[in-house]
Amino acid sequence: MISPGPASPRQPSARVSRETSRRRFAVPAVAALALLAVFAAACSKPASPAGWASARPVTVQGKDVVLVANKAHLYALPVGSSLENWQFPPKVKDGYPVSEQASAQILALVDALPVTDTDKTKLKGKVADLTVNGATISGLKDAIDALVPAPGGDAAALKQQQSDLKSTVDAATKFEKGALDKLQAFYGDFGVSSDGKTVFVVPFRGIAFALDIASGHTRWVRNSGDQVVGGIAVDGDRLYFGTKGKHLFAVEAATGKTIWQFNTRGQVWDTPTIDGDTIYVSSLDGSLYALDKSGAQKWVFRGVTSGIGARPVVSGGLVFIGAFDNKLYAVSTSDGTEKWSLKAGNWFWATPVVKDGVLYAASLDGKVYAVDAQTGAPKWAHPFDANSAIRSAPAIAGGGLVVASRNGHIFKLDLASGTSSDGGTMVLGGVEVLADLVNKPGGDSVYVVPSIATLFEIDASGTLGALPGSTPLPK
Amino acid sequence: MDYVSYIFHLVFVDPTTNLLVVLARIFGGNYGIAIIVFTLLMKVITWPLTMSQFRQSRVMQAIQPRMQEIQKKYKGKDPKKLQAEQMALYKEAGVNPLGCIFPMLAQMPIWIALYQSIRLTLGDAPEGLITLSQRLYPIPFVHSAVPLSNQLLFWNLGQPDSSYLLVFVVMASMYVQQKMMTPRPTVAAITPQAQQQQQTTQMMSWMMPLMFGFISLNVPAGLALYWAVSNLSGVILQYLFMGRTFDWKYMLSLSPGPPAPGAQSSKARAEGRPARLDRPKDESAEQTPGDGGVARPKRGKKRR
Repeated sequence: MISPGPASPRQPSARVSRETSRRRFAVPAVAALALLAVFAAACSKPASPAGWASARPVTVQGKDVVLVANKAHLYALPVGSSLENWQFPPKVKDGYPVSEQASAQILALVDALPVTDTDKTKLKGKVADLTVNGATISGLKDAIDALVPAPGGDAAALKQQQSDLKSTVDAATKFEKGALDKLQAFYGDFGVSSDGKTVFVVPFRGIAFALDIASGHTRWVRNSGDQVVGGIAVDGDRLYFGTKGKHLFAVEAATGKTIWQFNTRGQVWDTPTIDGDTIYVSSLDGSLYALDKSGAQKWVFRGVTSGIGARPVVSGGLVFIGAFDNKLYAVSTSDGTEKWSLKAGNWFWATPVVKDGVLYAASLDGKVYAVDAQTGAPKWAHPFDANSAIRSAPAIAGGGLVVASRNGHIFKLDLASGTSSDGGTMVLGGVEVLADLVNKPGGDSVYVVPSIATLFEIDASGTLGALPGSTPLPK
Repeated sequence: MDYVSYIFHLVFVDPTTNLLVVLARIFGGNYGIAIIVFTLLMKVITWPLTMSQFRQSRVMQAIQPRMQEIQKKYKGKDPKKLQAEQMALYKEAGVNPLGCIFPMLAQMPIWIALYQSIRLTLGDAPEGLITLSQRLYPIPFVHSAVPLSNQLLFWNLGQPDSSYLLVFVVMASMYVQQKMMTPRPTVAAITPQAQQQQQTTQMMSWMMPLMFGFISLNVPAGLALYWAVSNLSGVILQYLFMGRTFDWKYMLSLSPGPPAPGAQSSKARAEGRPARLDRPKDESAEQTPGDGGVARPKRGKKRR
């Protein structure tokens, strides 16, 4: 019989002692880990770029359409409808055709193949069906592999051309699929071609797209190589846009090919402004550049002591530009000399508006200023205070100045006095407004693009109503 | 919660942001140098805490022999008495066993404020600049500093360090600092309690660098730069103010560490032979007071 041996008198107390010791040293370890956990929780990931592109009313095949963006999506909505004509990027990329330009490039290679016309026709049919992703790619490549030389054709040359053609297909589809995956957000203005058939967009990631305004299909895609916060200015057959890579690009509207590039000292965050034969563009290096259309610098204004993120506005021989040094400058268009400046309590980022010789400018200090455009003399007794930062460009509608503050308050101000009458305020609850206000064509309404997936239409013909017209964006 | 957030921004984030922007303006718009100078400024401000931590570390090291004696004396006999004696020794020596946590605790708001400031000033999203504009004090010098350059050498300080160099420096410097701060065992594995203590401290010495390395991988490189500079300056100050405790063999050892001079391992005791010495005897004599009293660290820069 096995009997248990005598218990060691030391065992229980040793265990207690060990536990006491473990507890003592576990405390700092647990405390340190808890602190790190708190720190990790407090250090949540930075906010992603969401965009503040304004709405762009256009006419498509005789119908009024609004182009509106929310985060990484761009929608073409018939006015007053949530049923989009198209959205970009498409919901399903497998059915989205490659760009017209890539398709044309592939077709040119097909034409040069030493195969029969029948084979070329079949192959072209597959190129026409080519999408940026999906089975159409492998289908086209299989068809390329199956090609045989035409009678008397060079088999070795065909083999090489087949290889080149497949490489081109792979490169085009991979690049365009990747470009669609990387939109991230839309900030700047959308450009529309002079014939109204193409819209040019350049999302935050800096890849520019020319889209068929009727179908949303891509005409061409170009990578600028840097992030873009500003928008695209269209001037006939040319487009202009600046990048965070300190470049202003002039590109062909038809192909997206670079005509010239101008190097600034700092990042370009605004949409260039074109007036006559001059391109005005500002930079975070604190300069306002005036260029001719060959890309040569006419003059540069360096009187700003900080960066400039606002879009220049030209009127009456002056160019007006707001800056991060809390000042708005009036500069001569002829030689870039400063005429006057306006001081606020915070940055000027909103694009100002000029009407009947009066400049209306909103600041991130939450105030709206009205001054004589030629002299800078105040026109109102005191600036209007919205009590929240204003980045959106105001709009003149219904005989008043419509202003949106960051916290979603909409004001209609009397142009002469700068006061907001009874019923002159509307609150869009729980939203942030940073996009420029845009007039709806043929009326007294203003489009407001907030931070949520909704397009607001504010009727400013009389006093502001209790509720705005709202169009939820498609999901 | 909004109220807490408001207070935290008012007290920590806003001053940190404005100070960093001012420093960046002073140093030609270089945000990296601003962070380095900010870190050194923080070192100066938290100097009393740091010195207290150094002193506690030295005292902890000095009382190790007496702590081992107490553990040996009451080992397995009277845990309450053991704990009481240990606490009495801590009290007599004027140290707090949790003292090493407090400086870290004190720096937590600074870390979070710095993170928030970097996010505000160097964030990728343009919306962040609008928020920044509302946080800057109404001083033209401050507003004129924007925009800030987020580049230091090849690092984008607003993004996590993709080169992993800063992450490595943070981990390595923190490991060295932890090792320097950890009391060296005077008797190896003399009691289970001592073993437990050594294992815990050893675990902390590599777990903390791993944790900070992991966090550095996910936060902007500007914050990792802060930790790297803070740790490196801490190591230098510790070396200067704690004396010649920088022992490469001990630093590189992943085991609980070699026993200090005069220490006798349990195995050695069992075999009746002296423990291995890896330090000169005079050093041991200075660390372990002959009268059995608590060894008080000498102040100042005196090196042994």
